[in-house]
Amino acid sequence: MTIHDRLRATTQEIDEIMYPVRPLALPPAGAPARLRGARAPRALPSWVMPFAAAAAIVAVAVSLVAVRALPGAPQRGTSPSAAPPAAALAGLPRYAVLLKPQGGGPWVTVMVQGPTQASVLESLPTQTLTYAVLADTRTGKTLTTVRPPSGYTFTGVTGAGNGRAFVLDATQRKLAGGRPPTHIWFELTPRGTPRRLPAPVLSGYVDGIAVSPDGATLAVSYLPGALSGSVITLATYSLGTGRLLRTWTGPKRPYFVAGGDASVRLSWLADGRTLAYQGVADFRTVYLLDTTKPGDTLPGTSRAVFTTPVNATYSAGEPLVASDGQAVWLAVGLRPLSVSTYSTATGKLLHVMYSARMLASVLWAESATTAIAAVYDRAGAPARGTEIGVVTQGKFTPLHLPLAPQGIANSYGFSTIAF
Amino acid sequence: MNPQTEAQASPSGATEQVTELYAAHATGLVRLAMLVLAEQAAAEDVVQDAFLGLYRRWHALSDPGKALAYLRSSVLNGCRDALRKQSRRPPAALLAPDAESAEARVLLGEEHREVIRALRRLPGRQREAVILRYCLALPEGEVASAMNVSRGTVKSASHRGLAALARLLKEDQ
Repeated sequence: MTIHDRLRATTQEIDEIMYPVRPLALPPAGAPARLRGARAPRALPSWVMPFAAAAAIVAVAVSLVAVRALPGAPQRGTSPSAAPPAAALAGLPRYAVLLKPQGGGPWVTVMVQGPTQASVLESLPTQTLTYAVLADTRTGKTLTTVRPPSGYTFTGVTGAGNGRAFVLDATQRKLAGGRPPTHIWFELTPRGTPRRLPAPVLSGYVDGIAVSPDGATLAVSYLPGALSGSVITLATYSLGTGRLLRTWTGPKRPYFVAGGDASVRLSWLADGRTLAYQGVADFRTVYLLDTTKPGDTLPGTSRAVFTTPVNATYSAGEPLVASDGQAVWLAVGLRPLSVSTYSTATGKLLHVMYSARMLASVLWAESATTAIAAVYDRAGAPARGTEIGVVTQGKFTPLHLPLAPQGIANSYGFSTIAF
Repeated sequence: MNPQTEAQASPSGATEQVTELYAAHATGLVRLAMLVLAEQAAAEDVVQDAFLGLYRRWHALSDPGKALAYLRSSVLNGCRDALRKQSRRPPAALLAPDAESAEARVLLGEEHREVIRALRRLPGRQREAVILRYCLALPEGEVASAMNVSRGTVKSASHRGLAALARLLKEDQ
């Protein structure tokens, strides 16, 4: 093979592994344009962190930040051209919350590629101001649009999966002196009124959140200090009182290794006491953590229930444990890509549920039979870009959620849609 | 319609035209940046910054027909900056070892990573000339515009770069 051939082959290979490029985020008309790539400075020495964290907390306390709905909320939303059949939606979450950049249409960044880039964690809060949109999954209508408090932007959302509660992660936007950002939390109920949650004011780099099915407990995975060299921490908080309930720490090694990437996907099982996570110790393996059992390390208190088959050409979203704990949903393969279910008891393939042309990511799953997924260019249909819909055996029923035309974008681990 | 005039008259004109350019060329520019940076997230950052830079300077662009060359040039500049930053960090995602790498799910094969590693060892001008000329198969004139050099420089840089690349790849074997 000549050197020319090798260069062409490498270029072709890059074409093959590239995901759709994320939408362009231009500043809103009239606003001063600012380069998005402005990075937070490097972290300060570790001894500064406690002072920095204290200062951030004080700053938050005195700023009396308040979340407010946009004027006129709940707003009239976009009316979808055709609502999905009611039968296909039976038993599915009635509401979804999507994050959207200011001045743009809601777009979705889901667990498409998986790994979280350290640089993304650093730059996320400095990017475009992000709003939260509460939508009705049956009609596709926007019910409310919520803007973050001054000085903050929404960087993540999690839902209880049953319409009871959504929790929004509001992240401090300006990171002075390389400090980790401060996070404050808001609850958004289907009534559409956001409420500042009593806890926790957390300083660190958050890369996974999950609210329990009863809406009472928030699980957060985060790096408490600098990105480099920190050990991942998982914590649970009472949303009623703000009290820290439990903490577990990850393996005693730097979280960001091998290229600066890692990822955590957190979800609660329906029992309300078991947390499923993936990406802390081994990105291919899904673990279950019984939050009622003693122990304060993730490796010591978790059990592995599923490992992505080594021969799977793994191209899309993270595995997601169905809330009944019986099955794992996973998208594997490249062109076409299969959305499949695996047994958590045996690790064996149960069913190939659906195929998409390019990529897919499972967003919500209650059992081995039904899930909500984002797919890009569904097979057998005209190219429509990204769609979110209900996946059952061999069938995809689109939900007409208010997505921008670009729809989906790479997120490297961040979920900006929740049910 | 003259994009320049429209942009001056209406900010949304710039928005629409830059967005159209993005729709048409973002993927190709990300490919260019990935060949240098070996990491899609970083490549997209560079491309987004290039488009934001274009958006900010749209009214000052003397010839909108040169927007693509401007973007390529911005992307190359952004890649140089990113490479400098990467050199102080662990290896880029696509170059990370397979074992226990969080990126193993979507990786280049080893033979392609060798090529990218070798490209990164080339002097900047040679690397850019080789990528634009031989990976992206751009005509010499467009390469020269993107690199802001003469065609003669493109010829010599790409020739030398190719020879150096062959040598580096042979050394690695």
